[in-house]
Amino acid sequence: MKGKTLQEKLARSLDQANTKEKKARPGRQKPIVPLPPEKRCTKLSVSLFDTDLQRVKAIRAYILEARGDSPSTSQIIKIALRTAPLTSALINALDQAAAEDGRKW
Amino acid sequence: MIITLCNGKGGSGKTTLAVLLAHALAAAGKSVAVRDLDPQGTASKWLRECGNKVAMYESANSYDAVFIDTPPRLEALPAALAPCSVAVIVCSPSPADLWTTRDTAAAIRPALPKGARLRLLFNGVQANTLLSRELPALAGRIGIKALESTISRRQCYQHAALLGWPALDAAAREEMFKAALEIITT
Repeated sequence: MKGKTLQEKLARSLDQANTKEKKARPGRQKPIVPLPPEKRCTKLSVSLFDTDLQRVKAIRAYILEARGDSPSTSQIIKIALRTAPLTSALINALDQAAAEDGRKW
Repeated sequence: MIITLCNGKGGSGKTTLAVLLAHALAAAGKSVAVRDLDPQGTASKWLRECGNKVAMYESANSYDAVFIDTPPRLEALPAALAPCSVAVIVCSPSPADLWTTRDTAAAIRPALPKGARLRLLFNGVQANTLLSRELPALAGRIGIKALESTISRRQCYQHAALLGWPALDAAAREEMFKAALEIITT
């Protein structure tokens, strides 16, 4: 009977020690899974004129007031790209930008 | 839980205790394996002959406990200690063995993983001798916490190599259960 009790205590103690050990040691890191194509971003370096930066600030201020969030510059550029209609206004804007720095496009 | 049994000196009883302590946990209903890192392969032979409920460690399967038997060479210890939760230096109660134990402990300490414990287990102790009474003081002198449990000199431990766990009488089994319990809990 005594032997049986000792065995039970041994089994219980090992379980407790293993549980304690598992908690103390950091779990194995999850393997890095590549992001699906729709979630991948490409990092770009862009040049903006002062007038464009003013527009970035204006969009940020508008969203901050409307939603209470301050979007990043990347988010603001995404918003502009997604909402710009494909009209002749784009060509006019291009001409205007080219005239500002004197470069040919 | 991974328990590494070691000593820089041969003949201290590492293999016998690795196998028998593993059997004690197996008798308590746990899944246990022995990993034999000694090129002599004594633990592997023992388990093949009369392993009973203890598995030979082959891969990182999920066991409740794994006992690692190490060769009597200090250079081999870091690899055996890297995954362990407890390192047990098995030592016979003789001054000569304690000197080797001091060297073993010095080699072990830097190789122990964070949070792992180092304990000393006296093996082959003859009860009621002057030396057996001096053991705690001797352990204190080399700066390692000795387990209160000690393993006595018993014929049945020799027979266990032939007959396995059934060779142990009730007193020997209790000794193994107590030692295993103390290794796990203290």
